[in-house]
Amino acid sequence: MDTKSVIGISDLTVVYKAARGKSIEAVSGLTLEVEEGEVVGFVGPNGAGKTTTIKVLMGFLFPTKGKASVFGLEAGSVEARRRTGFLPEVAVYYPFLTARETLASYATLQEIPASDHDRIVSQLIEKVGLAGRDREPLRNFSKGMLQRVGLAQAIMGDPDLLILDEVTSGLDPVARRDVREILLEFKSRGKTVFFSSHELSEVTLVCDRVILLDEGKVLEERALDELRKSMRKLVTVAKGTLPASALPDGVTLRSVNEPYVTLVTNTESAQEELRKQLQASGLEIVETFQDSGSLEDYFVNTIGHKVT
Amino acid sequence: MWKNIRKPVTIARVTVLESIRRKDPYVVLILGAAMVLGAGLFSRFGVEGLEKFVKDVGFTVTTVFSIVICVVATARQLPAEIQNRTLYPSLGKPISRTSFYFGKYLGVSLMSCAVVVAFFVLLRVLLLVFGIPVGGVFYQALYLRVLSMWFIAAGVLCLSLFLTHAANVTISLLACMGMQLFAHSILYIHDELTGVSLRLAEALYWMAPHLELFDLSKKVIHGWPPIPMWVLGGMTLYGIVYAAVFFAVGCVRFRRMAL
Repeated sequence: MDTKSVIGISDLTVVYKAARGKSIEAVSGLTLEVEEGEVVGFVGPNGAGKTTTIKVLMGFLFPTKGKASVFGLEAGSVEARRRTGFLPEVAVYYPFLTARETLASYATLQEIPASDHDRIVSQLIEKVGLAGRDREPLRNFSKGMLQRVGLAQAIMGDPDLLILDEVTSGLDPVARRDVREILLEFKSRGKTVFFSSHELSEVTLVCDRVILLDEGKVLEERALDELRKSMRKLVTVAKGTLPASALPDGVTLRSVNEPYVTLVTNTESAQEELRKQLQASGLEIVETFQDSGSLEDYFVNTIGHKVT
Repeated sequence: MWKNIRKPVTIARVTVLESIRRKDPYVVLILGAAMVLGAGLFSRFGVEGLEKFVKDVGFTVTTVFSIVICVVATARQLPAEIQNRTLYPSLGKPISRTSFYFGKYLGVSLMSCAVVVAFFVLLRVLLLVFGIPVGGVFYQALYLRVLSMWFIAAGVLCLSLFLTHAANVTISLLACMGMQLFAHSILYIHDELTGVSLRLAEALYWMAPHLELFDLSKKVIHGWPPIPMWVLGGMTLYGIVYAAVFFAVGCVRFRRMAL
């Protein structure tokens, strides 16, 4: 394995025992690698196996088959967790403790010297925007505020790797922006971030690479720039009535708004072919432009069902 | 040494703080205090022989309520951590599952011991107020009751990884109360048994954790002298061995659990 590999998963299979002797294969022969300094988005529909994979990386679940390593160490080992910050899918903390007490407890578990607790906890509270609320019990906190506590404990001790499960879940737009800024700051310092998310727009804003998972398998793994290129659409708006003859290959009809029709192609050659056919049919080309496309549309088309 | 123990101590601290702020111990302490004080009022009316009655009620309340709070609080710990997912951020930190388990055990045991001590202090104050004398056996009773909390907490915590919460509470309370009340019955019927039933009764007697041995209340009530120190030492060893076995089984199970 490359020495710069931070996460290494090889042929990972996780099978859950279900009722009546049945079993469910949550992850099936998954292989992936995350390099040092990368920000990787792990996306897929519900039940795709994202959380299961993350649980294996943190040592909460054990592989039925295959291997998982973090920093070349056995996934979930104390040594690996020492260098990892983790935010679970649903952030739940001890409801009767205050945010400050909670973070101070995690500081001890993170092996931060007791003399530094106050300073570090105060810094983190400031950073995640909980200043002024840090002495309230967590049972009074909203979901978004709990997620901020979760993020604070995850980035505590400046870990080399952040593993975040549904990081922006339940956050309002301001909180999302704050989280994004924290992730981008981590990225700028060469740290590695591996996160799962349903918020595909967030993925495009911070990721270097996207891994699309479905039914426990990697469906697609691409750098974000490459993905953006394939998502790009060439749009042609024409005025007139669309001929009854079939459209050229690679052309899809986006909308008809009399007397305008909007057609979409993926390549320049297909667009040129379309332009010729439309003009030959007596339509006037009103406008051509590029549309960056939506990641959600791309994933829905790739997976074949709705990403939820 | 301190570096290694800081993490379980932190888990224990969180466990105790959560329990106190949930007001778990207060409910039984207030109820227990009301019952003991109620019994004490009989003495105020000058009824003869009620000195033993006050002690009896006091010790019964202490025994029953301390076991109830220990069982209920311990049985909830790990299932609640798993169900509420509060253990994920903790175990995401560099702490071993053994340390986490030990921290939980330490926390519930200390909390249960604090409840026992509070009951004994209350009882001692009441006895002082009414001028009822107690000997050294009173403090030996306190020591053994505290020891039994570690023993019970280890068993209940271990069972919480094998049974549902409700089943664990029911079985643990039945086992604790059952051993308190019926362990001697096996001895009484021993001479009447033969064959397989005799072997079964003997196996049950030797394998079952004898919680009744940790109860010196009758000796305090009837004003007996303190028990020999070697017996106390033997009981300490007995309690430690049983607690260690329960702890080890629970710990192995917790380490192998898919969370």
